[in-house]
Amino acid sequence: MSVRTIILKIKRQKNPELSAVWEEFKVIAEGEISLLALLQKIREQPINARNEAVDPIVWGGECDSRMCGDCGMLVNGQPMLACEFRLKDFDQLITLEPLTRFPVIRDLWVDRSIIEKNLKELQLWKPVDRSVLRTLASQVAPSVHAEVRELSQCIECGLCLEVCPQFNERSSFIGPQAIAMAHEHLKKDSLGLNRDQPLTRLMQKGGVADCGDAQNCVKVCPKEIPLTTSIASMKRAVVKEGFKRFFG
Amino acid sequence: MNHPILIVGSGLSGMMAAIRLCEQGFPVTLISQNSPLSSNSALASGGLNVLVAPEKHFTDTLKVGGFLANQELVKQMCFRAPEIVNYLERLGVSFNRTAEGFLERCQLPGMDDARAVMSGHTIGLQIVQALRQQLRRFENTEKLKQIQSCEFISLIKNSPGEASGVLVMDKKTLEIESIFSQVVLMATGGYAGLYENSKNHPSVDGSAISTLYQQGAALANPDLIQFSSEGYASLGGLWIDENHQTSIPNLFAAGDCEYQYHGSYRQPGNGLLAALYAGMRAASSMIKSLASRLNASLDLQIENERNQEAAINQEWFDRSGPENCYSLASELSENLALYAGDNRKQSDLKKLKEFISELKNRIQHITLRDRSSFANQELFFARRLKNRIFLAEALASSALLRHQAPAFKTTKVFYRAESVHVEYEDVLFKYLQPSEGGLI
Repeated sequence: MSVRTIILKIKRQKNPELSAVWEEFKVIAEGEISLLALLQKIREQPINARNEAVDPIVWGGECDSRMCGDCGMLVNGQPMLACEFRLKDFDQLITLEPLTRFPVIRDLWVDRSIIEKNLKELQLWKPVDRSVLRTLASQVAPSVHAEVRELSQCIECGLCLEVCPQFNERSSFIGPQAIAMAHEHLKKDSLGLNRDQPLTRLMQKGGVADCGDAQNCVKVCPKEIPLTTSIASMKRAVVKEGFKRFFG
Repeated sequence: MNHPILIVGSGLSGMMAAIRLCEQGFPVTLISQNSPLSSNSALASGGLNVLVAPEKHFTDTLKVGGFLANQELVKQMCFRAPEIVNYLERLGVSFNRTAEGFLERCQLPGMDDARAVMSGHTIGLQIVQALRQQLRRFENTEKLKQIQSCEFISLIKNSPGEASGVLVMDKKTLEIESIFSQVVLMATGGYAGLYENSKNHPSVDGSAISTLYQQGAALANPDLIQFSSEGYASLGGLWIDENHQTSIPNLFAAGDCEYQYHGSYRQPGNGLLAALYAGMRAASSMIKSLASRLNASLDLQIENERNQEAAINQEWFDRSGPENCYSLASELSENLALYAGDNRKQSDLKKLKEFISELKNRIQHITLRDRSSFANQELFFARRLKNRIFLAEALASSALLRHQAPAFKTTKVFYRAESVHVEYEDVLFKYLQPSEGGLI
């Protein structure tokens, strides 16, 4: 891999009130360097392509291990985790923008607290406390176990919400991420200790019926969670529950 | 004050303590600089040890740790491991299963038997997510208040010198706010991230530990770091007693920010277990302590302290010179790896101390590149850098004395009158003598 100069064109915004402006930076890249490492270089020496000293770039997330979910951004228009993006030889110009479905805090750093709000409303907890007998380990059907394991990889990065046509300021749609988490919870809660509230939320306005079946979500998930399978499964569960509640 | 208990840090220890307290009806405020996914806990990929014979788990843990760990705490941790795994299972953590669907135990690298439950390579994430659902449950009933947008910057002490809350700095507005409480639990993680290539989460730099050390709290064994190709673990931290009480009254510590569970070597599979058990144990101790502290007096000097911290921010903006806080941080982590790595020589440690005293001077000549008073990450980083330097100094001082230490001593490090003091403390052999290798 060669050493070459790359132009990073970054959409910058000083704070939530000001409007965004584009700024270019020239950086020397060596090998398959990660985008996060390039950003760190610029942060250390924040000098733009016109050789002006400027404020360092601000973004969320530093785990560099695809775990914190904080470094999601638009790279050349595509939503992805900055720590996952490795530069290729042919890359010369890379544009970076903050995710568009979340309020910008500063530069590439966005406020994803809506994800937490939606999960709270779903109430996906088990009513379990410390008064526990030391019982033998319970048995879980291998098929259920495999399904739960897949779903439990979510890091709440919000990339699936970025590409969902139904998830925006005008709608209360909770989005594919929350639906997959509800699916995981209902799978795990085999005794039905806490089904009512999650199902009620899924049946309400903004629930699973608001999904327009665009199927973009599943393509961008960095953890390859089968989001559309969860949505289909929850749509069925909601219909079934609706009948049950109506006819008693 | 409607939330008498304050917890700093939302990794496994902090979350576990919060859950135990809320379950028993105690309102808790949990503050963290980021979401629980931004933690070393979430990055953990190994397993969690649970033995059918906890006695063996106990003796093994003490032996590999060179008999420096606290025997009472290790004993309780090992005997309660089955209960902890059982609890996590009930929460829905998807541990590896046998073909029939039962819990499977696996052999971790470096171990000679299969004693760890695992969850693919994401056990940390699984446990963090399961505990978070419980946090949401208690937030829903208003037992728990979570604040995720600020960073701990100093401990509030009342006039008798007891912990009575913390000062935090808002990550967006940079405002300094005070949060009062009757007791404070630090669960801020370890400090192996001070080292280059530690593979720790970058926030695991011991900044909070260092702040408390500079405010008078004792450290224990800060020189102990476990180096391996999979990443490093710090083994020292805040000094605590058997009840997780630090040397500052009303201030508790649990998890990687303290030193009691591993001794000089952490057995693979004991890290997550210790973090969870420590959180549980600290919660019970805090409840006991709370009963006797309900009339603790509050400090009225708080405006002064807030102004002092704001003045520190202003000083950072006012400084100018050729230095850069990110490159100084890299120099520090490189030098730590070079001079205080696995094979430490006295001469190297002395070089490290010299480098650190130079660094203390050089940070006076840092120019902050970011001049903004909104969401200024560089200002936070600069403040952390100063804390890293003080902790590195404690580490080097403790390491220098370790060479002369008689066997089975804890080093206890204090910062007093702007200098480092190191003394030895005996380790108690409550159940097992190093010479015997069997239970008393």
